[in-house]
Amino acid sequence: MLVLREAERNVLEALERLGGEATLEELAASLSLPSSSVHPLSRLLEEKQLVEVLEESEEEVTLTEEGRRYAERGLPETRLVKLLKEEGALPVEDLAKLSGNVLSKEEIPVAVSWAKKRGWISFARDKDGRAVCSLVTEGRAPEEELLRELLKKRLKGRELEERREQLEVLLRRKLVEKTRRRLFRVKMTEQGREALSQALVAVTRLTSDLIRTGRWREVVLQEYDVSSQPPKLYPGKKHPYVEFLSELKDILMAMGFVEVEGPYVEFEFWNFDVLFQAQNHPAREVHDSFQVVDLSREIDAPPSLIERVKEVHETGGDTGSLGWRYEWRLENASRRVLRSQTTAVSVRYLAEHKTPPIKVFTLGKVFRPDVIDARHSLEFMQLDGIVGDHGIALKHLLGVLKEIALRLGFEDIRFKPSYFPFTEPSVEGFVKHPKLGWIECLGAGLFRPEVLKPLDIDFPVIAWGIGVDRLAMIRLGINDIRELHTLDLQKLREWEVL
Amino acid sequence: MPTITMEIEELNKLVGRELSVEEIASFIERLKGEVEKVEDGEITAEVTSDRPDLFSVEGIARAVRLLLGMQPSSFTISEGSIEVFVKESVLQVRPAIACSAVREVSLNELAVAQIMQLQEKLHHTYGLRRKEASIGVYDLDKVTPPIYYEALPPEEIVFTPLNCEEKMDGREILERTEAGKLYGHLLKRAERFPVLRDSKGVVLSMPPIINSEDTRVTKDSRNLFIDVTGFNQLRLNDIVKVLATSIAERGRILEIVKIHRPKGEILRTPSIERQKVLLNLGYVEKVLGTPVDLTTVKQALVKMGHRVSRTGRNQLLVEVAPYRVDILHPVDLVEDIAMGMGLEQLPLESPPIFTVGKLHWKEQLARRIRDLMTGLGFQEVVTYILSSKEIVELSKEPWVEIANPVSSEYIVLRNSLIPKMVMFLSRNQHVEYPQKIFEIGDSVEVRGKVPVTTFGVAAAIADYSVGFEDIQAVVHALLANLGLTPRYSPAKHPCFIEGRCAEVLCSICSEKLGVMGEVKPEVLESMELLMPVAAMELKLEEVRECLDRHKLKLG
Repeated sequence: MLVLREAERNVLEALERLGGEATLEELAASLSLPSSSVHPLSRLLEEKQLVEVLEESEEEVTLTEEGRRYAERGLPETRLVKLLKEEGALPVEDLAKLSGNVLSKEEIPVAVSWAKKRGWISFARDKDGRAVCSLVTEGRAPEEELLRELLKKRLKGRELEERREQLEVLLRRKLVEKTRRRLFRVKMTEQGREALSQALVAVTRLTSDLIRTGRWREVVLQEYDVSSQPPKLYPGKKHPYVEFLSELKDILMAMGFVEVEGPYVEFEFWNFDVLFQAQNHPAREVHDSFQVVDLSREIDAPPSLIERVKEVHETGGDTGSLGWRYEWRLENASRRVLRSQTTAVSVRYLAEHKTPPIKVFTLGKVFRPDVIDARHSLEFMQLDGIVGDHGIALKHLLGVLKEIALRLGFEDIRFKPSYFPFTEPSVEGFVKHPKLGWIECLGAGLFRPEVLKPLDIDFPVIAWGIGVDRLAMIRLGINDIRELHTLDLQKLREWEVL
Repeated sequence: MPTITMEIEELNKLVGRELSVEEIASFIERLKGEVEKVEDGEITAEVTSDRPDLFSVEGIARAVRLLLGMQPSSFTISEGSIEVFVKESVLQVRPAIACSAVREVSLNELAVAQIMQLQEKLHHTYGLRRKEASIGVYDLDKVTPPIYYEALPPEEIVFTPLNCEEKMDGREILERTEAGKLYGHLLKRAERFPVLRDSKGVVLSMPPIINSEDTRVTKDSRNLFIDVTGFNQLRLNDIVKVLATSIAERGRILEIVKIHRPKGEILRTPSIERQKVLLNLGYVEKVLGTPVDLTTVKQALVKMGHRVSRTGRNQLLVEVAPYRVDILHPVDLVEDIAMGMGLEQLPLESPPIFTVGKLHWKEQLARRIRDLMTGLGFQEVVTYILSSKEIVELSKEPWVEIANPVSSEYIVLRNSLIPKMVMFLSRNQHVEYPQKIFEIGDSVEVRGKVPVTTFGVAAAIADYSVGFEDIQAVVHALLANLGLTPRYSPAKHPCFIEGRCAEVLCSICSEKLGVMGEVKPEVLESMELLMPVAAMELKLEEVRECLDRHKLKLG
């Protein structure tokens, strides 16, 4: 059974409407398609012997440039007699001057000679002996009509044959020229007529209309090239870095930690002083921090806490410590910085929650002046956690950290002693990655008595901080820390989901 | 953290053993440090700032010997005959001084370099770049005590500065020497400059700027004199103690210097008596979380250079190593015990606490919104909180500005997410459209000079043709799916076209939830973005309040 594509069928139908034979242009007009689309379709139908495509050529007459000008303005001789009728007899030598815009300089000889030839004007001499031309009769040139018609449409075939004489004149005056034009005629064959009534139609889209009308039974669903590639789609996706951070939070939540948060712009008091970092101690330079411009300097801490922090710095207070033994200044503590460690958030929490057990974490941005390169960023994520209760000790710190490492998918964890101004003992942790080996990623310790006592915390608190971005880079398979904040949309669109 | 370099051969010579690089690295790790690089027989290691006694090869060798169970090196400490007289004139400029001398040292080129490195690291850390303390080390045999510490008009201080060939006066030194240019600001307001001279008028140094060439230490120097000047006597004593004990590792006698302060006060520096700390075994066990016996504790402390004696059934008297300046509290000795034992000896345990974990309400809400926004076909993006001024200026004032920025790209904190969305889109004009992005995150606003963190979600659509309704539909779908019914009212916003900008309000309580609109062409032009953009930002604190009020509690 013969199968027609929908477009092929449409051509045949249009051809039938046009009486079984039509030029390509007529066919295209009837289908509201450009000829350039209908031509290949008719060639396809020709291959199937459903139509014949006849190639013809046709004589055609078109205007020359001069012809076009005359068609628009009238023949020069016509314009001359009109002028003479209005102005009366004129000396030939003055015609150019007197004719104004009616005739151009080049047109005057043409106008004079043709008007004379047609017997529309005559010449005489005036009293000064100059040649003068005067109107004889205001005739009409029959070919002028034809000229105007050619301006509006192409004349061909029979129409030309009927007006051969006038055409000859125009051709001689080089106002028109003859050309030949290629022409396709499409003619329905007997098989074409049969196909139109019997062939099944193949459609590309199964439409609701086809289903509703039941016409799907009469059509064939055209085969697709199913092996070709589809158009691209970009689903709305979560950011892989945020996905990793969510994973971290889920791990901490599953371990019984409560998430807390704190401000980005922090008093040095909370960022350094409460954490027992002496104002003149090199440790304060450990985290070179970003100072901020022109903000209120009223510390949001109870005066008693400020007093006790001062005391513990200067003399150790009642902590059993020697203290740093220098003069502590409120004006230094009341400066604001961009927080350089999320531990500031943990101690803020302790300042307000003094009942054990305490088990909280915070995951947030910290800011430090640094070079900006593949390994350093001015802002980065830190995960800080604390556990506090009577009986909590160093072994629990190591235990919690090991559990986090294992839950994150690392094979093992090891520790070495380290130094942080606010913890003692302090350790640094390395996690073991199956391919990359030992990776340094965390610092931890027990909060110093000089930190806890002024906060009125009378039980031990273990604290740890994890540099999350390093782990994120490993998890996301990137080598440049800046890519965690990539501005490349294409990269995000192509990033595989975690 | 300070980074120091040392020759492996030199270290092994001082330790008295042939240690491999791996063994050395593991000892340095046990001392809180970390080897960064091994090259041409030289080790570069990071040490921690609490342990200035480890800022040189002598200190590291001493600590390694102790960890190996070897005897500490034996120099004697003696009351010497050198006297220093502090004159009234210096009290206004740089009032405090601490000194020491080390006799019968044997040096070589490397040792001199190590002394200079130690001096430099101490300057940089404890000296706060010489502001708090500046150090001088001299060849004592080129000096004739007593020594005078005074302040003189700069033109009266004339000597050949270290590494120079001609004599200069105080002012010329500030202008012409490298150290003068670096540290001259410390004397900017002083009419008289501090100077150390001996009894023959030989200048030792002009603190805190430079030493004199005449008293320079060379590999042939046998006896050394040390001074530290500054403001806080305690700190100066700590520094001179660390220096003298380190150098004494290469000598035989550490000598105490007698300092006569104006008005008759006499100091003997360095004050080097061992600090005495009583340590209860129970406290050690409480911190570590594991039972330990006295012998183990004692051994561990000895390995860290302390002397230990038993004073009760469960109590020890610890005499802290004289070069240690970081023992403020008994807990610091517990860390030493853990280090002496080795951290790997300690058990690991989960805390025996039952708590229920919980996410912050922000995270709970963010997760819902991320699901909805991605469902609506939006790609999540993450941008820095730090911004350039040009970007935050698109939105509204005021903002938090950094006083010591490192780049104008990162000089303020964002106070809204919308400008970041426009910036992001402007960077992706080569990428296929439509582009639909969103971000959830914090911004920092300033209200009456007080910084306030705000939490929001912003979204933007860029396409060949995009309009108000496109983003409004998103806002509506988002809020409706969270359980809020929004209404809209005309608004003005610096980013949005007037008449195509609306405020989003809660239809029940009229709380202002956010803003949305079509981005002004002048804003697009300023960002060189050639596509129309519609954007929105919702304030999630307010969204949360409405949810709490009308629907469900979060967090």
